[in-house]
Amino acid sequence: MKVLGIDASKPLGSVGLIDGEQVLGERKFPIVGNHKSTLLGNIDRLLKETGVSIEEIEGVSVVIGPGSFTGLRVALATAKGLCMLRELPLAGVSSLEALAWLLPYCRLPVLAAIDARRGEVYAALYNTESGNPVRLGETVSLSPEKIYERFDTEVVIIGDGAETYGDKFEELYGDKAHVVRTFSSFPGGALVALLGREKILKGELLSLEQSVPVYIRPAAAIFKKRP
Amino acid sequence: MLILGIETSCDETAAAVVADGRTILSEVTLSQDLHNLYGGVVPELASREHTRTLVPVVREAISEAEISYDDLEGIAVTNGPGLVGALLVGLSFAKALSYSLNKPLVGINHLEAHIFSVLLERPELVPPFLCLIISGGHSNLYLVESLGRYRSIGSTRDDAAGEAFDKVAKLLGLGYPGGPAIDEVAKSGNRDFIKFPKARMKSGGYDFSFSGLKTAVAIYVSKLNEKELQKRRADIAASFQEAVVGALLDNTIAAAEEHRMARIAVCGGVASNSRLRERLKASSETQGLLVFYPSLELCTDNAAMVAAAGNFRLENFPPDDLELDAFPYLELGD
Repeated sequence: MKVLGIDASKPLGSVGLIDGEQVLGERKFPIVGNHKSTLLGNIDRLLKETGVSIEEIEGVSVVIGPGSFTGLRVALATAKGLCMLRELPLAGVSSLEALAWLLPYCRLPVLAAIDARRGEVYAALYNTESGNPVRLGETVSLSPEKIYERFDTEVVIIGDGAETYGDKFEELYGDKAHVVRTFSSFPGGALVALLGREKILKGELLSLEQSVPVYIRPAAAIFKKRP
Repeated sequence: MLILGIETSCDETAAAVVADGRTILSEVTLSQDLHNLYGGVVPELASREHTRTLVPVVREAISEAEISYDDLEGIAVTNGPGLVGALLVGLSFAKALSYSLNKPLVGINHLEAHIFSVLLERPELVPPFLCLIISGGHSNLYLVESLGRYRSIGSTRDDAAGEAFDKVAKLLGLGYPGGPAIDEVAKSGNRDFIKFPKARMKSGGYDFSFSGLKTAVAIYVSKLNEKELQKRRADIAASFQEAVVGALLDNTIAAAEEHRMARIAVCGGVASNSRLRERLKASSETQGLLVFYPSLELCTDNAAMVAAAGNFRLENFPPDDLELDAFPYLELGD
């Protein structure tokens, strides 16, 4: 089964293509500023590079959040547009769970942390000892201080939130924090496709008619002038 | 050509199928009433809602038109001006759908789409003509020299006309959207009750300004107690509406005279205002002008006008590529 993976939840977006468990290709590209509409062009380039046509795609997996609100919507709207015509199965993958998959068989709990701006990180704690991440508790958007209050245990912290607030976490946690500073651009679209494939095989699908991103934060009721 | 139009520039999720830019096979518009609570459109809420509702709206438009996706010859999507987050939802979806369908995609300027909301139903309207676009987001006066060639001769310096209606309706406790609410209440009011100021532009030209008028209403209302406001609500609404309509009319009639335009198209949500239509009818009869409006359903944001504009674009210009972007402040014409 050929599955396309899409992640636009971060400033560095990624798309990946797999066939079964084999990775056929992956692309990374900036989706900041004036490049928010670059996703489909990159999907097209990935398909051309791998010699696969859009008609051969049998499923789509998309990072559903948390992350950049606009990025999540661009990704989900694109995924829905690709799936609608042929009723392709669509799977949603958590950005935080995807990060936890980078540290399987870890004896310490893994704190996946994504920079949420405004002094906060999106975070969730995972037990990955068995190889498959299992979430412990809620997914939150909190300041590093509040994160420490909530998850006061020895942890491995991973994600771009660990990079932005690495020093802060070390100051708060002392010896109990192990900050991974090398994975900020991961996970990529291929891992998203692999995780989505698992969900598709299990029948855990998103509804094209109903699904929305996982924002965690409510929509701030800020009134802006209509342009 | 058979075109699917998609519109998500503000708080309406809309899809429509239009044949040859003339025949509407289907038009589905979902207005997001969740903003009523806030007295105005909350951009983040609008974008969230579009993401949820787009697929059902598009499916409904296709099924209502009784066509299959393969019958489509192009997809037209609004890519500006509007709320950038909202635009990106419709644009991303439209791009992906056109890619999987392998049909041409064209980005449409929302303002040009409004002009096509009139052309769609009135084939006898041919350029050159004057077009007044008045809505919650826009107040523009264009010379339509030929199809695709527009000269902007006036726009708002501050609030859009519809925005002024919304803000004043809020001051008067009339709810959102304000246009229809004020129009209704004003019918029983005295429009000469207060002489609200009409903005005059020093630099000449046909620009509009409504924020001074809104402030004048706010000052007036602030001096009233609840009981007085209750008693005078209809009079204030009628007087305010008269001032807005007067400003719109003065510029439009003067521009028609200067540019020797005998035909005027009026579109956008405020084009459904009954007092505006009444006064335009009177003026046009004395001045020998022909005034064209879209039907009421096509005054507010809709996707049929986007599809109609898309038909024109795809018949006369190359389609857009996959890199097509959204532009919140996209302008129209010279």
